[in-house]
Amino acid sequence: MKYISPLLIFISALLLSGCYTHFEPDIPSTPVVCLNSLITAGEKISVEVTRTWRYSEGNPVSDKIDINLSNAEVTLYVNGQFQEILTLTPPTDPYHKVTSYYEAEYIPQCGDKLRIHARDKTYGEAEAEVTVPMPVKIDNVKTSVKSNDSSYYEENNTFTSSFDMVLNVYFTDPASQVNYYIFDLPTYKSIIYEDEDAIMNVSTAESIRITPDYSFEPIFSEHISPVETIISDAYGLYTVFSDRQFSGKQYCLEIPVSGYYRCDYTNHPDLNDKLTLDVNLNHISTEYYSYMLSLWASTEGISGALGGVGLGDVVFEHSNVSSGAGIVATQATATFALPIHDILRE
Amino acid sequence: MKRSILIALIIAVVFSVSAQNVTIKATDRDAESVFAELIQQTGKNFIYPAGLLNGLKVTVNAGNTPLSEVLDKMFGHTGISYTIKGNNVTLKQADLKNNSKLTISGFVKEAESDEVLVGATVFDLNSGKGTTTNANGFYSLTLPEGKVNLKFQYIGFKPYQSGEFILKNNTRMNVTLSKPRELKEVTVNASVNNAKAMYAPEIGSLNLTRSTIKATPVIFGESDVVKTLQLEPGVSAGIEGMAGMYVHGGDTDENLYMLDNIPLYQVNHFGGLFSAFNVDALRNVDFYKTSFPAKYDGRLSSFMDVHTKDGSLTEHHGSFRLGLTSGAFDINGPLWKNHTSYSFAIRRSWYDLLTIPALAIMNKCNKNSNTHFGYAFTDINAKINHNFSDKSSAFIMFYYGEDYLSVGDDDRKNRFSNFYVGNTATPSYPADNNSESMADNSYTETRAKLRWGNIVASAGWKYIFSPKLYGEVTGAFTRYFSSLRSHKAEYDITGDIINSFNRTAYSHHNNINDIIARADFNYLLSTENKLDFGVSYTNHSFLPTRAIHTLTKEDEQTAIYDDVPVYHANELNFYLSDDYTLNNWLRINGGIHYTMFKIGDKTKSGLSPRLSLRITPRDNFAIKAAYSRSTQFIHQLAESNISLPTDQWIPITGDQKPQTADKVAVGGYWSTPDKQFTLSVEAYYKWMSNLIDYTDDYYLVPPSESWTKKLGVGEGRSHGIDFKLAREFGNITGHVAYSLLWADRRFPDKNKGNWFPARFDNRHKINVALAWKINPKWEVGASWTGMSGNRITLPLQCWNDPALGPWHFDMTYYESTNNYRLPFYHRLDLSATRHTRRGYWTFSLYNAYCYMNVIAVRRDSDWLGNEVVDMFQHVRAIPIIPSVSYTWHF
Repeated sequence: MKYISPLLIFISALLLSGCYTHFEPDIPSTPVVCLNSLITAGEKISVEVTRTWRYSEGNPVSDKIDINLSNAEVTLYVNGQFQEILTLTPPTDPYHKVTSYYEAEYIPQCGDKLRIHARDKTYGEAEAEVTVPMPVKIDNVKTSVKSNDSSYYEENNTFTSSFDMVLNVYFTDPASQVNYYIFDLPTYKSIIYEDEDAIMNVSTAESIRITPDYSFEPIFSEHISPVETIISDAYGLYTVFSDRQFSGKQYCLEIPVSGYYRCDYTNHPDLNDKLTLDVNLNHISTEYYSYMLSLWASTEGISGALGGVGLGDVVFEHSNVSSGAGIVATQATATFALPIHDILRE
Repeated sequence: MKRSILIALIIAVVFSVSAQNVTIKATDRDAESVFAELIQQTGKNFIYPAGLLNGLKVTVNAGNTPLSEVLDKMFGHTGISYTIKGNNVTLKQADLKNNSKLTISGFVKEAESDEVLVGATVFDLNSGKGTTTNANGFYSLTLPEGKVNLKFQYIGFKPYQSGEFILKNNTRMNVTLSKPRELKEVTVNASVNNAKAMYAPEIGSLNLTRSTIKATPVIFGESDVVKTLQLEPGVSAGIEGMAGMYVHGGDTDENLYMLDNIPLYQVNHFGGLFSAFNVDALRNVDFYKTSFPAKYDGRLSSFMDVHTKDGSLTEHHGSFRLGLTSGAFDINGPLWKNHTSYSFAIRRSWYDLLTIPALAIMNKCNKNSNTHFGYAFTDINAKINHNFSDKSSAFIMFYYGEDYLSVGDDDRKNRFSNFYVGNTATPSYPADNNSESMADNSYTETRAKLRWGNIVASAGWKYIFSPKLYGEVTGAFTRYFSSLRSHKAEYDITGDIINSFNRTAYSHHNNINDIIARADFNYLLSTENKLDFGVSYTNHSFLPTRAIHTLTKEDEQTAIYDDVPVYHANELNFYLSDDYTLNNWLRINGGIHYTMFKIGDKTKSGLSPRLSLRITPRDNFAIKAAYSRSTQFIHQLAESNISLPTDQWIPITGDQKPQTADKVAVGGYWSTPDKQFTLSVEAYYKWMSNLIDYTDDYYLVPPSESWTKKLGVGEGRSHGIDFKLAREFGNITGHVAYSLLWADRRFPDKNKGNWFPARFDNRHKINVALAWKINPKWEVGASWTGMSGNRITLPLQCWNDPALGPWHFDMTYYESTNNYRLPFYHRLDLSATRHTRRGYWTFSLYNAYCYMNVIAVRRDSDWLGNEVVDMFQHVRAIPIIPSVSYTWHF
């Protein structure tokens, strides 16, 4: 909304110099079962089973209402066969608002066709069916350092670098089907090590913080219409894309990255110079892609912007659950570990 | 030679005999006794069949008058004809079978401006037969040979009466009507719309004049033809303040807007806040909302033909208007006196000038950022009209309408200000972030420029082929254009040196080019029977998308082209309609409009039959019934309920079928004997097929994909009743209107395939519009609108955030489409006009009692008592808006 703000201010001054009055719509609504899950190939399945709630009923975050369905019967079917009944496994985070997580023992494999069915005595049933995609390997990542302002400080035995570089991420799209992806670069990473007592520790001895510029990669804006290019500045937040423009071919993502790298040789010298930058390419299900696009449309798209002020239709976040509430998405992740230290020390 | 002399003598004798003068005075006397006196005076023999004059009374008052004139007066209305041959005067019963019919035709114009008057009535007082002028001010009236006495009248003008004369040949009679100096001079018996209601077979047709439009109070005082039509029953306005039009439950792209018979695609300025029709440039507007003449097709819901001014043939006139939001200038006059006239009008908004001070202050406050903003709309109308002769004239017309929007900003900041160092949460800002002398800067420039609008150029020739045949041939080019250019450039600068440079640029174009040729004819078979027919050809060229995305990084440049191919389509239209007045109480209008639409290798066709009839069982009361089918081959895809440059007009393609609407309607009309008040009640049922709209989740399809993947095909239905009581002349004019409407839609992929109410299913709508001419200096106007609120889709429930995206909030749960009706809407607008010696001031109050209506619903958290709770909130907007403008006439 950044660039259009003067226009919006002006239109607001003309049209929306309004006020707000509280009311309760005299339309009944019935809560239904909601399923949320992101299933990753090779990892345990965890499904959040909740109910929908009327907006004016309250807010789950402030604990005014309880949306958890802790007595639901949640069943997993794999490739059309009953697999198991999931067990309630509340999250470890005690402050998490949702506690009705159900976990399966089954570890999903690429190509599995999963069906998750939930039944609750009060709110009825809901189910979703998804297929676990195959990971799409990153062929290579090439770097091109544009600037590297690096220094070694003897007084505190520290190496630092402020850098600009371009990552060229190569991968080959499988030709057999329409594929969807989410690209991911963690913006911060530091060394994690296991100490003598077998406890995992996070060390700041070596760390990197980066700011990728996703606006330069056109594939990330394929879902943006021309007018939306000027009303939205959400570049970098949505790295979801499809293979429509390169189906079955190798494609190279070009990502300019600016960052700061720091390595302190004082402690744990044995751990130094081992930090890698994880370049992740998630091959995602159609439902995941649709959900992300609907999220973009409702928050950044022109439909969402106008629908929110009564000048257009409301944009709804995509759901692939039979009740219309929730998203069950799948993904398979391929990671390329980029030895960042070597690049910056060159 | 002898023979010639003999003939000359015979002629002289005959002439002298017929020219013989008589003096006679008789009031309601027996014809035979009058003849006895004439025989005495002239010595002629009167020969007639026995019994011909039995019981015939005549009245004649002549002093030293030729005998033939006396006989004319005596037998003018008796059905008796006479011949004078030598010394014999022979009388006989006129042979009705052989009585020849003659045609009087011509134009009716306004005396002051030479503008033609559309819908003026022409009556023969002797026979009681009459007609009205067509869209070009032309009339044609066929009458029996003999005496006629024509009366020409038009609302607001002094009637003109020709006086009795003998119609011996087909006659051309051009008449000018002038405005009275005082209103009481006018003795108009009916307005155009009263005549339409009582006599025309069509249902729901309306004629708007410039003065009617200007008298309607509107937002910002910007007179607007579409906003005037919004006050009509059966027409919903859509979003408040906008110049939208949803007729009888239809959609906004189902209205055909024409400028001198040429279609316009972009009919709005400023997102729909104003229509593209500059009132200063128009003469009058024809609007059809229920049953349609066969001439019009191509849209489902309504047809609006805006006729622009021709310009005066005798004097230069003009005006200059200065309002809060725009200024306008128009001028018209003769280029060649009595032969060629011109008319020119321009209107431009002021918004860009108004925003300059605000932007200057904003940019002054923020040293590191400059904001750019500019918006303006412009429209230009120009026309040249040339009269070759009484029969032949030609015109050239040009229209240019454009909206221009420019936004952008420049940001200057330290290149590391976005970064956080190490694992601390403290940004490493330089000591002086605002310093102009920063050594290491990043500079970001963003710009976006949008232009969208319409160009129309047309030329036409109007010709009266015969008193019974009038024709007009037009060639035109119309272009809709929408372009967007934007770029974002980032510079990394150290001192004066650019370290790196990134530039991302978009350009996007969406165009339609139409080349049109058309010919329209009116043929008068008889006064009772008129034919309208015509043909038109349009070559369409649609460019839905041409996008170029250019990425520049220092020396590297990548351009990505996203072209949807240009679609060429050929459209051929034929129409024929017959308007037949069987007798005094029954009039029928039947016609067909046939369209062939060829796109790619597929040809689609549409046959639109029309039938309407009017029954007048007694004076001042009419009943009508009509059936209309309309077919639409081009439709608009809009992502919102306002007008945006992204709204695309696209043709039907592939296996899509043209959209069709079938409508049956009945109407009852009553007017007071003095024609001051007209009451109409019209009921209709409309069903629509092959409707095309975005699917609910069209936004999941990327823009680069074909639009057909985003569309669903469905159906619609609407029915309702329109009531209207109108008074169109006198010191106080206006109308009270009420409409009742049900409008639904059904699409397989929306609302689970069930019927759902249309967005603008405004069940009840009441309009009261009044204009009062207090005295020659002051006029006041008021309009009140009350209606059931618009429908919206209100998500009542939420589902939990799955935490998959970058934003985290409660998701909206979809239950059904347009499930909530906004509260009842009502608003009063007032206006006052003060006439001065050289012009007039217009003062207006939009939403005079400042009731802020609900335009939307939002979900938010707010304080309720002592706690913050989630709640639904009505969003209320648009308070009272005063405006003032001054118009200077010259």
